[in-house]
Amino acid sequence: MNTLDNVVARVLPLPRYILAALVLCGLILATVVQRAGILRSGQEVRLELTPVDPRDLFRGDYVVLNYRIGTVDMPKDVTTPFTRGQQVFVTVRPDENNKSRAVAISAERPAVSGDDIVISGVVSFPSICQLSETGARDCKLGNNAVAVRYGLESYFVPEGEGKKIELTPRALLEVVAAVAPSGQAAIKRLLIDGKPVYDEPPY
Amino acid sequence: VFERGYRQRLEADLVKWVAGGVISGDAAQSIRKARFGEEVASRLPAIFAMLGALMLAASVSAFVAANWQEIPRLVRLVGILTIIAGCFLPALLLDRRGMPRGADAAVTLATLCFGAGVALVGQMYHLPADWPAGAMLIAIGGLAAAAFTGKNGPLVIAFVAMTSWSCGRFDAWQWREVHWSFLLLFVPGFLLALGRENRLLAHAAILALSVWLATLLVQPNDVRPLTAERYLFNLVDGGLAFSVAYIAIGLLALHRGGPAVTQALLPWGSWVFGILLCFEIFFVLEKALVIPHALVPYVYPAHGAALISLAALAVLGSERDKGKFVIIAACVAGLTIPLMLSGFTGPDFPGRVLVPIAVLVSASALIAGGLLAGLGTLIAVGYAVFGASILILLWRTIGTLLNQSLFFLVAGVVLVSLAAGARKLANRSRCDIEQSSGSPA
Repeated sequence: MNTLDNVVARVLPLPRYILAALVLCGLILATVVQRAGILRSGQEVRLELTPVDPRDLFRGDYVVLNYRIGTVDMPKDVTTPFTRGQQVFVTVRPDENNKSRAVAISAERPAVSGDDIVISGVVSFPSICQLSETGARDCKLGNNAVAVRYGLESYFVPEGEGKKIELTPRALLEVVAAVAPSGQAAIKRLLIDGKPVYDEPPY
Repeated sequence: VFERGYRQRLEADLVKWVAGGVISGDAAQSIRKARFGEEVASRLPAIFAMLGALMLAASVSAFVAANWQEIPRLVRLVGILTIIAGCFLPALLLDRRGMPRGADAAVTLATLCFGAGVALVGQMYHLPADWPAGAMLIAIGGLAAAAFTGKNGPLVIAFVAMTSWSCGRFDAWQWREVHWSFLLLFVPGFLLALGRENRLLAHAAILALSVWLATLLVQPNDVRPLTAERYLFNLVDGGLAFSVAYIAIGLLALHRGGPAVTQALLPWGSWVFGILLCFEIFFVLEKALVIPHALVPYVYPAHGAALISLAALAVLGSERDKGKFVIIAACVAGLTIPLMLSGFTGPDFPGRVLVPIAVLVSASALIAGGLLAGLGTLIAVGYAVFGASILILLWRTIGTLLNQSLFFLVAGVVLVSLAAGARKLANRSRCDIEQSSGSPA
């Protein structure tokens, strides 16, 4: 027995085993409570998206969701380019159809006003082609855009139901996400043609 | 190297010694008791218990994956938490009844169900994008379970999970910084593993360390060009140096009776060293690959570690181990190869001849060192490298076929001469021993 095991072995087995069980269950519960908090009290944003359907070997079926706000135009006044893996804050603002559009991106959390909401994300590609007005990638516009992941890019569905969403026209799909004051976001609802098809309870 | 291997060797020797009349049967039995105690109980129940635990955990994981809507998520979550907590009760009872392996299986099941629970949370909140964070959480849980219960299964899971975490955070093409946070979990895990004599655990710990060390060999993306070849060369040259350090530390641990986890460095180092020697010989025979092949600063620490470890082995290693310096020579011969291919040598340097020679010298020294030290792994690696090198050399001709024939002729003559010399040396040693045992005290 080494020093670490010796130190731990001074405690009786019963409290040690109880402690081990509490740590394992506590870690899971802490994650659940934290995410449920976002769903319960976060501000809602409606996001446009485009899906593809893979299969997660360990967790069944899920749909990959690509958001329009996943591509953000680089601000003209930025002197230091973003790097892959860097945390960024994207300000989104609802348009006339109440769908949120990215209006700004920064390395520091910006002050918000009006209907603006700030979502935190991670840069996946620091320089990609920009999006046209229709939402299609258009490299003729330049590659001054940043690809950002928000942790909302997957949506789990019951086994075998992913294909159904995949076959739905892209323009009809939307996600309602809840955003915590910290900027962390969680998927709250999946809409097809404006009607909720999956609604996520906090627990 | 490990307990089981030692037990098998000792058992074979005891049978031989009793048959040869060297020791009595009673003496052999006393040696067995003194070294291994009374228990030679079957490990079969423990093995079946562990396999059963793995199956049960797989069943829970598949159930989570099915995302079966008939049972509400919250009920599924409570179910998994109940299984986790419930596994600790039989574990405690088994431990108290003197069945530590059964208890290990139960705690392992609890840890695996904890992993399934993390996956369920990921499914509930649609979080697969950051799966490395999930792996980190499983590693933390495994470490906690291993520390509080003293069991090995959760620690093995923790090492595998932290390896996945480190791999998930690593991106060869966009690498920005060393994943130092890996050490926050690895160091306590390693400290726990140091005191535990378990083969699987030792190998899992070394696997985790090796994968992380491999990521250190990649240069940052702001130092260009970072090509696939460049990445491979860093990995091979640096890996060769790290494997030498593994061999030296592992052998030193063997000499000084170090923990199983440090002794496990020896087989890992030996096999990786052998495989990378074959890579080097392949590189040097591929003309296109030789040109950009030069040592870069990112592999210097690996070479520093190798040299320090070899020096430590030379100074602190057992003086009775006759193979120690031969093994060091084998390692040094291998370490010269990256230098031969680096910028330290001119463009006219005959690397295509000298590198194969260095590989063959290293392989021969590994065989000799392994024989002298009684280490089967080194002998096997030496033979494997020797055989593979000859096959590669026959496949990729050095110069003309006549030159190649000359190369093998010289190599063959040198080795046959060495064999004759070794035979004479062995005869002389035997005569000396016979004379000294026959002479009056």
